[in-house]
Amino acid sequence: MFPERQRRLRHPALEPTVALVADVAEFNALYDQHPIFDRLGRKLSTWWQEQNRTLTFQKQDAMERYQSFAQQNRICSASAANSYRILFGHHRGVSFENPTAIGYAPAVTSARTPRGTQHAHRPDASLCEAGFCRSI
Amino acid sequence: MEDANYEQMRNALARWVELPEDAWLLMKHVFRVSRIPRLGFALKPGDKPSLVVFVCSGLLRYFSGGLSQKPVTKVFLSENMFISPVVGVP
Repeated sequence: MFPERQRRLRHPALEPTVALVADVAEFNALYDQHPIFDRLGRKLSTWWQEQNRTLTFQKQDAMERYQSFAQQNRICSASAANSYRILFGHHRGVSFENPTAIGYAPAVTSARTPRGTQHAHRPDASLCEAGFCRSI
Repeated sequence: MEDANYEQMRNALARWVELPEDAWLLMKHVFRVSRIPRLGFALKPGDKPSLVVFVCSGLLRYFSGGLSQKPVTKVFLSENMFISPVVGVP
């Protein structure tokens, strides 16, 4: 459910801490028990998204933000890399020669590489992983 | 003392919505008070992130990285901040 990177997140206390802790499953069950939790969840979700956006601007550069966007929207990282090259004109030393597939766009998407090669994606993640989507 | 912690959370939630008494009792029943010593873990390495945490007092650090790796701090969590498995917010 969560990306590997998020699984490794930890919460150590830097000083003695008192916290209220709830299990996510029990917390989510509240949504079925009272309609007010729908409203609370919607407000919290909006707030979290705003804060997350602020944090990403503080912690990530343009390249990392674009890769996160591509991952969230199931765009192939190869496409993201090519689009990034088009948008920013360089790749900041990051190699995209062996792109790892993180999904594919529902519709076939294409982007033109700096060399002018047409880049297309097959609607199959396994083919994408095998590198078939890189350039045909 | 513990009631004060719950009231603190209720006041923090009032930023978004005023919980009626029956809903508040449901929510209060879900949360339990956890006292974490200095350098203790709210979520231990290797644990599945399945907690919603509200910080009443103290300071937590939210970081990624294994025990043998250099940790990367994501955010510091101070009083009146929530953390979910997805993201932390003030």
